[in-house]
Amino acid sequence: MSAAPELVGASIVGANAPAIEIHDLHKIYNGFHAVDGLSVTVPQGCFFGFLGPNGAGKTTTIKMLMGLAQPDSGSMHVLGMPMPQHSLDIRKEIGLVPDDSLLFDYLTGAEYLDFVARLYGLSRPSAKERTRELLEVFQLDENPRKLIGEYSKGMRKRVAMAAALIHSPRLFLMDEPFEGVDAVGARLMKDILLEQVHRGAAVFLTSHVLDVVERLCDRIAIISRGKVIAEGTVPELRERAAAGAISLEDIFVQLVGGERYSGKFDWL
Amino acid sequence: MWQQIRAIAWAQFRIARNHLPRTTAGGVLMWVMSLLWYGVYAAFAIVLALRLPDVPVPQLQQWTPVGLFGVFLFWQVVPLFTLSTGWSLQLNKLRVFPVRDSALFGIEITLRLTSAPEMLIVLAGALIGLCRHPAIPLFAPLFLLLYVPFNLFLQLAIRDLILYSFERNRFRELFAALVISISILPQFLSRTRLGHILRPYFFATARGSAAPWREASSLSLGSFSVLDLILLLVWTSAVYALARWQFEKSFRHEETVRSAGPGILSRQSKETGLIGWPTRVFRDPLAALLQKEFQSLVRMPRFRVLFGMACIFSVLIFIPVTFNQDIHKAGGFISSNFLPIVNLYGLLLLSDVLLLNIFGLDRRAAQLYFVAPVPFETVIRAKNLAAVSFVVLQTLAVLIIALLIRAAVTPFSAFIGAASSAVVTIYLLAVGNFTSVSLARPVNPSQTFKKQGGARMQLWLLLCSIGMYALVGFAFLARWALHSDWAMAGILLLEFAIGVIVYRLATESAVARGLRDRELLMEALSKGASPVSAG
Repeated sequence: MSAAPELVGASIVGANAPAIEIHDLHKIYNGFHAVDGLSVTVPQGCFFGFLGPNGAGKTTTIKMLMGLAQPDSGSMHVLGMPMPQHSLDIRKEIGLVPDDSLLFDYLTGAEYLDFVARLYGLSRPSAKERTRELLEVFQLDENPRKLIGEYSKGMRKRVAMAAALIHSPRLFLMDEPFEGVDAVGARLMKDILLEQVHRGAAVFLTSHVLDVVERLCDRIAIISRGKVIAEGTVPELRERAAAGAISLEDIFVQLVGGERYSGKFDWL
Repeated sequence: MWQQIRAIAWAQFRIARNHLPRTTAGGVLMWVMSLLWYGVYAAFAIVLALRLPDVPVPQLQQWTPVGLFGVFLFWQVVPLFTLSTGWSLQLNKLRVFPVRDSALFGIEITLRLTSAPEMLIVLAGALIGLCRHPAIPLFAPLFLLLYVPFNLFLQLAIRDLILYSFERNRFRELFAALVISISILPQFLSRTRLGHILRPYFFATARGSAAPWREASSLSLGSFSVLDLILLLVWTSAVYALARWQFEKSFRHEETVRSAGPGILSRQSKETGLIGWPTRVFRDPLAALLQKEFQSLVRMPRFRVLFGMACIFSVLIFIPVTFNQDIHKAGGFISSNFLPIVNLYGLLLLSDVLLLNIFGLDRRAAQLYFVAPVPFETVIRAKNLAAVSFVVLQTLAVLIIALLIRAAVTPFSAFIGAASSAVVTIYLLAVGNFTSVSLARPVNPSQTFKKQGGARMQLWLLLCSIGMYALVGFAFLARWALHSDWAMAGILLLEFAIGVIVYRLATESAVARGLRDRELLMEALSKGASPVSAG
C-alpha cells in the first residue's frame, strides 16, 4: 500500500486533543431520548469500544459525530474541532464504516473507491493507485466488472472498509464492521485497524461481537438508554461488575440488566 | 391460507394507517383529483343505471357486446399507456414467509381490481341498469359478474408478462418499443384512413360469436344458453390457467433476480471511456460526482428505459397527430412546432428520475454526500449538470430523429426547440432541487415499468407539467399576438434569464434545507416498501 502519513506528533489541527470529546449530549426523537446526557472521551491512538444493547443510542451517536444527525444539546469535539461548526474539516479526517451501507449498487468496487478517494481530495493518480492496492488487499479484484449490488454482505463490508481507509483518516468510526465478514476478511480488517491505532489513529468501534471487542479495545464504554453506565478497560469493568463476571459478555449482561434464559417456555 | 391473507391485508392496513397522519395538503388535493377522475366514470355509470331500462332489447343486443369489448380493451390496454399496474404484492418481501403460492395468487388477483377501478364502476352501473330493465329477467344481468374474473385473470397474466419482459435486460428496450407501438395505435387509427378501414373489423370482433364479451352480453341480457355459459367458463378457465402459469414464472424469475442482484448489467462496462469526460473537463470533487452519476445512470434499467422513451417514444407518439397536417410541411400547429412539443414531452418523461427527485436513485447511499467532505451545493450542482447533459443528449436525439423522418425542421424551429428545453429545464431544476430535499423518496433503479411516485410527488409532477406548458405557452402566445417568431424567441430568452435567477435562489434554499433537514431526507430515502405496492 502507499505510504500513509505518520500521524503521531504531526503538526496538524488538534494533534494533541482527544480524538473524540463528547459532553452532555442529548438527542430526542418524538419524545424518546435516544441519547440522554452522554459524555465520552476517546484519546488519540486508542481502540475504543462503544457497546450497548439494541436501541441504546450507539448509531445515533455515530450519526451525530458524522454530522448526519443534529444534537438537541451538548457539545462534541472531534480531533479538537467543534462539531458541527467544523463539520467539513472533521469529515476529511474520519473514515466511516456505517451499519447501513453508503455504497452505490451500480458502481463497481474500483469505481466506488476511486469516487470516494476523489471526494476526499486525493489526486487522480493517487486515487487510482490506492484503489488498486485496496482492491488487491481486500481481495475484491477478482472480477473488476462486478457491480457492488452483486456483492455479498461480506464483500460490501470489505469495500466499505476499503473506502474508509482510502484517505488515510485519523479517526475511524466503525458501526458493526465485522458483521457478515468471513474469518479471513475479519482478521484482515482487525490487523489493519490495529496497525492504524499503532500509528496514532483512533478507532471508535461498536459491535455486538463482544469477544472481538474484548480482544481489540483498549477502553470500553457501555451505554444503555442513551447514557454511559460504565467506562474503562476490561479489568476495570470486571471490578465494577459483580463477582463471577469473567468475560466481557458477563460484564455487559450484568451492567445492562439482562437475564439468563432458564427454560421459561415449556412449549419450546 | 385465509389467515395469511388476513395477515398480509392487516399489515398493509397498518402501514397505510401509520402513514395517514402524514397526509398533507398535497394528499388532500390528490384525493380531490381522484374524486374528479372517478366521478366522471361514476357519472357515466349513473347514466347507464338510469337510462338502460329505456333502451329496447334489440339495441342492447347490438351494443352491449361492443361496450363489453370496450371494457375489455380499457382493462387490458390502458395500464400499458399509463405505465400503471395498480397495487401489487411485493413478492420478494413475502416469499421468505411460509405463505402458499395459491394464497399469494389469490391476493394478487384481488389486487388487480385496482388496475382499472373505472371499469368496475361502469360495470356496476350497467348491472343496475340491466337489472332495472323490464324486459330482462331479474337475475340474468348477474352474469356480468363472470366477466370480472375473466378480465382480472387476463390482466394479471399480461401484467406479469410485461414486468417479466421488462426485467429481462436483453429484451427490455425491445419490449419498451412494443409497448410504445401499442400506445400509438389508437391515435394512429383515429387519424388515418386505416381507422375507417379497420372499423368494420372492430365491430366484427366485438360482436363475433364465441368471444367472451359476446357470451357475457348474451347471458346478462337474459338469452340464457348452456353453450354460452360453457364458452364463457372455458374462456375464464383458460385465462386463469394462463395467469397462474405466468404468476409461477414470475415467482421463479423473482428468485433468480434476487439471487443475482442487479447483476446482468455487470457486463456493460465498456462505456467507461465515454462517460469519463467529466474527469477531463472538471476538477474533483465535481468531476468525481459527475462521473459517478453517468456511470450509475447508464446502468440503471429504469433510467435507460425512460431515457430511451424520452428520445424515441416522444417522437413516435406525436407522429400520428401530425398525419392530418403533413409532418413534412410547416403549417399546422404541431407540424410547425414539432421539436418544442416533442422535447417538452420527453422532458416530462425524464423529470421524475432526473430533475424532481435527484437523490431517489441513490437511496440510502445518499448519506455519503453528508459524510464525505464535499459541500452539499457541489453535490446538487453535479447532479444538475448530469441532468443537463442528458437533456442535451435527448434534445439532439429528437432533432436527429426529426431530421431522419423529414419532419418540418428549420434552423429557427431547431433553435426554438432547444430554447424551450433550456427554459423548462432551468425551472424544473430549480423546483426539482427543492423537491429533492423536501419530498425525497427512494426509487428502485431496477424497476422499469411501475410508477414509483407517492401522491404528493404525482401532484408535483402534474403542477410542474402545467407550469412547464404555461412557460412555453406564454412564448407561443407572444408569437401569436405579435405575429413574430422573434417575439417568441425573445420571451423564451427572457424566461431563461429569469429562470437562472430563480434557479440560483432555489438551489441556495435547497442546500440550506437539505443541510437542515438531512435527517428527514435520509429517513425518507431509507424507507422500505410495504407488502403491497402501488405501481
